[in-house]
Amino acid sequence: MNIDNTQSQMRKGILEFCILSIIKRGESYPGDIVDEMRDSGLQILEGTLYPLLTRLKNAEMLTYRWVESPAGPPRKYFSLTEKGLVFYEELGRTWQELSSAVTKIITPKPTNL
Amino acid sequence: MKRIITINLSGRVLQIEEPAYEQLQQYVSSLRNYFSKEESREEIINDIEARIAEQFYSFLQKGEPCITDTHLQEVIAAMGKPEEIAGEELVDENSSAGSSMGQSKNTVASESKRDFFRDANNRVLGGVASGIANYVGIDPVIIRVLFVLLSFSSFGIVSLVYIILWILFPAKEVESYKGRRFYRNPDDRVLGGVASGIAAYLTVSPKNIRLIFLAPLLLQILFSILNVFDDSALAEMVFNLSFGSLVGFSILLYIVLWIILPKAETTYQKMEMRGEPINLERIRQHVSEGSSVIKEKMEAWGKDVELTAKQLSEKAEELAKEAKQPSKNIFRSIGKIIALLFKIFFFLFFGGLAFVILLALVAILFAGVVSWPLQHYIWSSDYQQGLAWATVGLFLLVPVVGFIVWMIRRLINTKAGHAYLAWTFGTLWALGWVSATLFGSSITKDFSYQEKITDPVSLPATPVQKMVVKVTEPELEYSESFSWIHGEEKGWDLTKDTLKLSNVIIKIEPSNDSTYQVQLVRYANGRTEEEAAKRASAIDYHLSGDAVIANKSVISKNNNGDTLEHNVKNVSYLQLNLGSGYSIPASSKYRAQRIRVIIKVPVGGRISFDESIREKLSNVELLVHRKHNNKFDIEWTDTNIRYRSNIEYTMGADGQLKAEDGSSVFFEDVIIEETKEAPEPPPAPSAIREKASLTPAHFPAHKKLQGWGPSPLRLLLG
Repeated sequence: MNIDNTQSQMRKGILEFCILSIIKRGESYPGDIVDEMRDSGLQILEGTLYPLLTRLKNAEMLTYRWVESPAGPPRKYFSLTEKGLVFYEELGRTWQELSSAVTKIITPKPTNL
Repeated sequence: MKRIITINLSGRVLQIEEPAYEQLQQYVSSLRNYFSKEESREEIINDIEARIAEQFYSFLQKGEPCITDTHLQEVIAAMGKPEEIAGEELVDENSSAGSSMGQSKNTVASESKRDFFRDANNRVLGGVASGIANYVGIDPVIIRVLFVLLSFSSFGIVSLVYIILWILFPAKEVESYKGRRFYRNPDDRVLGGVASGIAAYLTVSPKNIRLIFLAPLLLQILFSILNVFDDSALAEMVFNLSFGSLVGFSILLYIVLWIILPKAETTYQKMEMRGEPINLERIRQHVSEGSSVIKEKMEAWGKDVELTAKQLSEKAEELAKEAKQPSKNIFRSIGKIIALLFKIFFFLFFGGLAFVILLALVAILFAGVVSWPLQHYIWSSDYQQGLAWATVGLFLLVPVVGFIVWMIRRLINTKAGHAYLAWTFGTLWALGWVSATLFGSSITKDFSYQEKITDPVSLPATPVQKMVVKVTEPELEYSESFSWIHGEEKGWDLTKDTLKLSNVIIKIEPSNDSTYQVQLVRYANGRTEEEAAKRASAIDYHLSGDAVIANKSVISKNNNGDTLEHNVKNVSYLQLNLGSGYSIPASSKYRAQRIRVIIKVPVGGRISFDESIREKLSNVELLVHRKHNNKFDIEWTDTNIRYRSNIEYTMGADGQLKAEDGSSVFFEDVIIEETKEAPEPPPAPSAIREKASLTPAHFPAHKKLQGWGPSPLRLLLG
């Protein structure tokens, strides 16, 4: 077993969920998303973020519009679509189930002898 | 001091050190390479570039004079190198794109894959071959080889198809082919490594491929050693033809592949050849350890099987959708299989049909080339010529091209969104119909009137009792003026400006006085009577009569037994020299021109026909009559010379020739007698004469499509 592989597999599933969560809170551009994830301690490579956003957009989970920025050219601001919202809520439910299940599993049970 | 340049990156003007910029370009191109199989690669790259530009800009905002290598490294570290991104995206790499996105994503991907595009990335000419390969999911080289081979064997039709595809389909940056590739294998080779390259592609033993290449040659050698076709020349010929061409084909194929296939030289290419998934780690593994080849092969094979199964099921699903079968699961899967089989059958069938049509087209083109020298004899005006070309082009070619286009579109499942194509072809074909009809009617009009010109042939005024008809000129022989037509053709000739034919028809009639008379009748058809007459007068035919005076010595014995020699002078006869053919100038076109020679023999006068007539003149006459109801009657007759050679005939009082010795009058009757059983005694002369005189009444002179031989009817009656 390769530890890197397992780690990235674990992260991979959560990554989409996190991105969608951030976007759900309000229109955001990739720079914001990276900053926010870093701030909360989730290190990601920006190189993985862009393809992911594009794929989500192609799958009609996300949509974007160009917003003028104070300095420099306009930026892409992403927001959730109807479909994306349903998808997000589904993921959210799964996450709740998973996290409670995982927490339960990894917490040592009080042993009744 | 490093050079600082100003660049425009994603709409931002930035100052950057030149080496750093070069490195940046390298980095971006490595990313582009990495995302090459991504559908929206350019969009992703644009986003990334915009992000990099933004970060550079923020460095400059903080007061840095320019972007340096350090800044670049910082940005790259945040963005990630391709192999780092690959590590993060591991899940994506092994399964099909975007599997984590669930079903919806999958359908999107497969739908966009269904459209056929020319490949803008990987192209030799228009990217058509690569586009097809990408669509079908095989190595573009295979399609290229097919194109090249078929172009050779189809006289350029396939090249035409290529061009049509080039025009019809848009180019797109199609995700490049990632599977196994065709290379020549330099590590394991006998000649050029073609066989072992194919073996690597197909994951079979090179031995088998070599055997397939050599099989036709080996078989031929084997059979010629065994000499199995001892007594059947035909079987041997058929065998040699089929295997001979197979040997040629396998050699040609090998050479073409040798030329067209690249050699797998780098480790990377060798891995591509074996279909091993390529990433940095794999290459490292491959180079350092030599790796466990068998395990990798098995893995690759397993993946291959998995992929094929997946593609097949996808395809079947689609077919089922297409067939719209709202039935239960079991029935649906059976339906899927049936639909798939049907589709395969359908395409095999129509593929075969298209192939046959291609062959027919080649035949038509070939016939066109052969009849090319004749074209000047066909149309009488530019109008007709234009119509003829329009007919060939629109009426004959358009449906063939249309069918091929339709076939290809069906085969590659292009959506029928282009109704204009059908309209275009339909309109063109309708135009073809119109021009075919106009051409036909214009040509038939040229046959509206038939005119004949009768001219007497002057004969020497010597009173004679005998005429000999002869062809003294050498037989017409094709002068090979056209390189298309070869061979020792006799009986006609064709040059740019003259057509010569040898079908001279001879008619025997009784003369109304005591002299021999000869008439030359020239016939031709035309749009008007004048045109027909003008055409008839343009026919050139030479014939002349000579008086032949022979001295004949008669040897007899008198009563005393002395030998006496009398010189009998002035035993003279007329010799009619017929030309071996008549010529039609190209300027007057071919409109059923023909000639007849009418020989009028006085009653009691003798006539004989030299065998040169039978040898040098042709026996068919093409008659084109236009009837009252505007219908044409075209018939072949063989009324030329029905008389036998070197037999003296006498003109009877009834206007029919009689053979001097009382035997059969007509050539075909002699043949019938010869075919009769030998022991049977010949019938009495009187009976034959009776039969002979009956013959013309029983058998009208005009017989459709009949050669020299006896007709079945005649055999029955005779």
